[in-house]
Amino acid sequence: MTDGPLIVQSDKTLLLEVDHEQAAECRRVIAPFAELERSPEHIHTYRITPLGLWNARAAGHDAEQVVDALMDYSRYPVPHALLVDVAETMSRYGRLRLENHPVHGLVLSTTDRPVLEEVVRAKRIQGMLGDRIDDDTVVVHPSERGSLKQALLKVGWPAEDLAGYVDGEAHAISLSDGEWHLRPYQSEAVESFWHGGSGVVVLPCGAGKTIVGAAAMAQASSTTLILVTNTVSARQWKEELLRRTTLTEDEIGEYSGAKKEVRPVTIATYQVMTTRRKGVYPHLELFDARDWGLIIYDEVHLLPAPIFRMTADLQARRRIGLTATLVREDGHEGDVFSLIGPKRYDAPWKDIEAQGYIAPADCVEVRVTLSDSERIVYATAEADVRYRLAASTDRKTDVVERLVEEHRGEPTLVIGQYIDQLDDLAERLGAPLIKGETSVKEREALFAAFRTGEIGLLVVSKVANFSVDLPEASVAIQVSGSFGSRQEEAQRLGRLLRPKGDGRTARFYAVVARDTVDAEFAQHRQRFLAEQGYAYRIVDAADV
Amino acid sequence: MSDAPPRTLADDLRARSDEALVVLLRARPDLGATPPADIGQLASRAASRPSVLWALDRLDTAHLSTLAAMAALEPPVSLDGLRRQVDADDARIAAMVARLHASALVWGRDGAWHVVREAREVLRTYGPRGPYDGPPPVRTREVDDRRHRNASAGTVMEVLQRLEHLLGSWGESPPPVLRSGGRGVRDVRNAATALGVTVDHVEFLLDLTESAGLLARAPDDGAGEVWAPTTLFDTWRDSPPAARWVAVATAWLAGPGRRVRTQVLRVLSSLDGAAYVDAEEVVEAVAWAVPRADADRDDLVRRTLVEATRLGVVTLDALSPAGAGLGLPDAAAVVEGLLPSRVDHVLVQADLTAVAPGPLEPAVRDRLEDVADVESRGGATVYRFTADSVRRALDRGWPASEIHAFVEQVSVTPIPQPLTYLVDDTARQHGRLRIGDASAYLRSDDPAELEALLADPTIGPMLHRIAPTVAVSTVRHEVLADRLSTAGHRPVGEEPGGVLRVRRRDQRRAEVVDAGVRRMGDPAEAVRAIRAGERAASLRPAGGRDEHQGSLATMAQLREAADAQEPVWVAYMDQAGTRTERVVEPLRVDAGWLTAFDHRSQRVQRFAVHRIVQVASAP
Repeated sequence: MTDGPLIVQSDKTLLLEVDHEQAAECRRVIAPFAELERSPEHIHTYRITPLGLWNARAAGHDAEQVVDALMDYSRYPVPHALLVDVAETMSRYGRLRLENHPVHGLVLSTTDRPVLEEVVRAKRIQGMLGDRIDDDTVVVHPSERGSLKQALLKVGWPAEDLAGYVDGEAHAISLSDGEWHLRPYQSEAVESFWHGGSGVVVLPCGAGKTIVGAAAMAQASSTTLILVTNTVSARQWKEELLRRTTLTEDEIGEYSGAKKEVRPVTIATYQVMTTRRKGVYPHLELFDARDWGLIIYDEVHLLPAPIFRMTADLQARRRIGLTATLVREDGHEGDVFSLIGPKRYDAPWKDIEAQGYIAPADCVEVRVTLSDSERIVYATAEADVRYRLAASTDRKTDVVERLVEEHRGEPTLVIGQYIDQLDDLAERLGAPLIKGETSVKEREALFAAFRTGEIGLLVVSKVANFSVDLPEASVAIQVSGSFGSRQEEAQRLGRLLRPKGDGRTARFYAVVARDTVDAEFAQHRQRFLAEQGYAYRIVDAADV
Repeated sequence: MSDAPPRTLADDLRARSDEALVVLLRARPDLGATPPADIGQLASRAASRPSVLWALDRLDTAHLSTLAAMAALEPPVSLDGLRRQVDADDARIAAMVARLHASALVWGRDGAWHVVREAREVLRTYGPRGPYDGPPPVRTREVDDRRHRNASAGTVMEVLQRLEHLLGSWGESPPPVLRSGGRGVRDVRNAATALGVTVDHVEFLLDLTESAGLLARAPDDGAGEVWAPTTLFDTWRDSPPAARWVAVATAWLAGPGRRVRTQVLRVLSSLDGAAYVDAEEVVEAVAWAVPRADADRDDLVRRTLVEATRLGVVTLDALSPAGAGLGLPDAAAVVEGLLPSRVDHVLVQADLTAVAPGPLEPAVRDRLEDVADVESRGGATVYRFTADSVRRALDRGWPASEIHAFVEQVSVTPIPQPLTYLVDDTARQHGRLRIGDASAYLRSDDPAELEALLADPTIGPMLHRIAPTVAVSTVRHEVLADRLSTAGHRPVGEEPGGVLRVRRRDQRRAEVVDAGVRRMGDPAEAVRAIRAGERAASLRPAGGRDEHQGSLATMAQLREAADAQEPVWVAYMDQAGTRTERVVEPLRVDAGWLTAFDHRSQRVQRFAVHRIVQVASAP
């Protein structure tokens, strides 16, 4: 028995004691195969999943290393069954391989004949395969390369894709000279990706994922299709590429709701790609518009389902996915693994944090008490309007005014879900309001003014928040609604509240109504933030 | 001792030294269970069929085959004759015969042996098989010592946790004993899901707890029986982990199939800590050692290996350090050395979890499980505080202050503020609304009068004051009224809503069945009834058919409507057989009666459900 920092649980979670002297070392060793699930102040939770183990296999780690890591750092004996399970799961990856046969083209081959026998008999796989060449090899219809990988993952025999890539149309791209350099982890990420062929690079928010994308493009030096979440993000990519690479304005096209430019480097939004008209995707042909040599998927964890289907047909092109987390709300982690590729790089989060690129914000929950008459209305209201009633109580307006006053001079955002409440707030605070109906142009103008400090206070609706990257602020006040999905929330929070130059901590206030569903939702949010390592305080409205 | 060859078994025994007789009684303890009167009795016992069978069962293949070979030869049997039958060197043959002689399965002397008659008969059909020089070999591979200890201890801890979890949850909601005496498939399946193991594995754990006396059938509150943890479980649960494991592992070893199980462990122990390569070779080795064991011996060996692995007696295909200690007097101490020591503290975090970084002291664990839910088990335990878990603690009688004090006491880290808020918020809302039983109430606008009643020794104990002017009683109101009037009080009845219940003069009258000409009532009421009738007629479902005897579907429909507070259209056949259709708003359905607001009469009325012949929704 060692006195290690790690405790292995029967449900395959790993508990890492943060303050242990071996914690950093242990974290580095387990990161390749375990996903970080929660990181509150004392004990972080990692989870071992089959996908995580296969990712580790794809990255060249073997079961022995994983078992050794668990045994070396574990404080207590590790149940034998768990070790056996780890070894068995890992050995499943790579028994099947997709390869390029000189005569027959794309083939599926095996080192373990019974496995091949099993999969060729599986119903959902049969149709994707062609003739059997010999006992260990079977022809694969080239169009099924992606679907086959998905299906094989589902039956528990993930295939290693060694069939190679087309080069695509060459296009000279290099990184620009200037007052900047790739950070070491960024060049490592590009190297691992290129070596692996296709796959996903996981970097925390603010660690410069766009630059990794640019470096990958320079490495490929070919035409590139970039898929991003929304229009504003597309424009940010464009600006960043102009700054970081030798590409010029007319080499980069935007393919969005507003413009349909196809250029050597084209940035398209998920939304336009997934627009459906009469049951077909009219913009699908963008994928074939050029002989793309590289496809970049930004924020892979938000990749919508139709894009997966399109990606299944693009398996001969190099693909790189960029994300801060592999955890998907919809459970489609397996599709990311099969279709984009295994995890190729995972940044040592702590190191990046130590360099000062990420830092936690100070989160405060302010509780207001409903007035007696509001409580009666709330108690007798139908369940579906209760949240609205509680969330948009007048008591909050008062608190928001005081908070804004307290932080006067600091860039502040007020965020909410209900338009009447926001209209009212904007009027009371004398601040501009951005909501769904605000045009992109107006929005950008306001954001720009906010960035330069011309405007110190903005009220934004949840709708605006969904489709737009908010500018940085040092204070955010949320009055109603959550930020959508859970990781989206943490991500936005991280982006919103970068540590400030003068070392001042950013503030995030959530104003909630006590003893109502509003407070219940807040508790979920609070839990999630605490899991992400954000300190959280609760104060009473009276103490603000 | 005479030189003449013994003529009978008794002769042979009579000639043996005291030491030799002790050896015999050790090898066949049944012979000396009650001390035999003389050598004659000893000999007849030793030759009896049950005793001979018992002794044969304990012979390994080499000795059994040798004895069978001797039995097949014409007595007296010489070594020469035996040599042709038995494929072993002379020394080995001599040693085997000597052992058979010592056990009194064979008598006589060198060169002139006799096999006891019962043995000869039993072995007539037994064809000799080898090998004679020892069990067939079991190939082995080395096991890393550290890994071996680790895996063994890990499994021991895991199995203890599973047993505790399983019995703990069955203690809270004991599943019924099936009529056949077994356990319900669904209960077992649920347990398997909860533990994350196979159904077969759970069956094994349950059998294990049953043979260890931790689980047994107990009478249910109703007529049947349930499976519940025994009182022994509580003692077991509070004893140290090593002792807990030894208790169940010993029970397992001593359970049915004991001889084969012991033999399996003996074979594994002969491998000196190395692992077997092929389980079938273990099967063969056991078969050699106990050739006359039950017909399902080989399956039992395979099963034993599986079970021993689940239990941690065997890990990495070798006898584990914990398993090696089984049967030794200090077995628990051996296991103790492998296991982590207990902790008495937790780390409380801002995401409302508390992590116990090791096995918790039972006292702390029990209290913590009152106030928080277990989220993950293993080397450590992760607890989560939720509003529900805190409410549960409050329900179990913990005051909020005690929850704070307890968490503060067991946490080595500062208590995060959100937890303090969670406890206080939950406590603040807890018990705001209270409910109890009462059959009657007493109300008086004068609190002093109630006070006087409460002070009255004949009445006070029946009352419970819930407000200055209100007291309730669980005694029926007629009884209470009676007692009150005996004591000289004159309570007045009250209708719901606070109206005085007016007493009419108590005179019985027969009801007039046929009233002849009815007097015209309030015309407005009549019109309302007509309109209601019209509406009902307009809502009559097309193609609807009357059904007699209010069916289950009717009940369900009415209940649904009552829950959703939606009006329904009904066709009703009254006592006189008159069919009416009306729209009603069901309030509740119980005991065959529908209570509903009737649009026709504009009143709340009761309808016998079996008289409702048709129901339809009335939008």
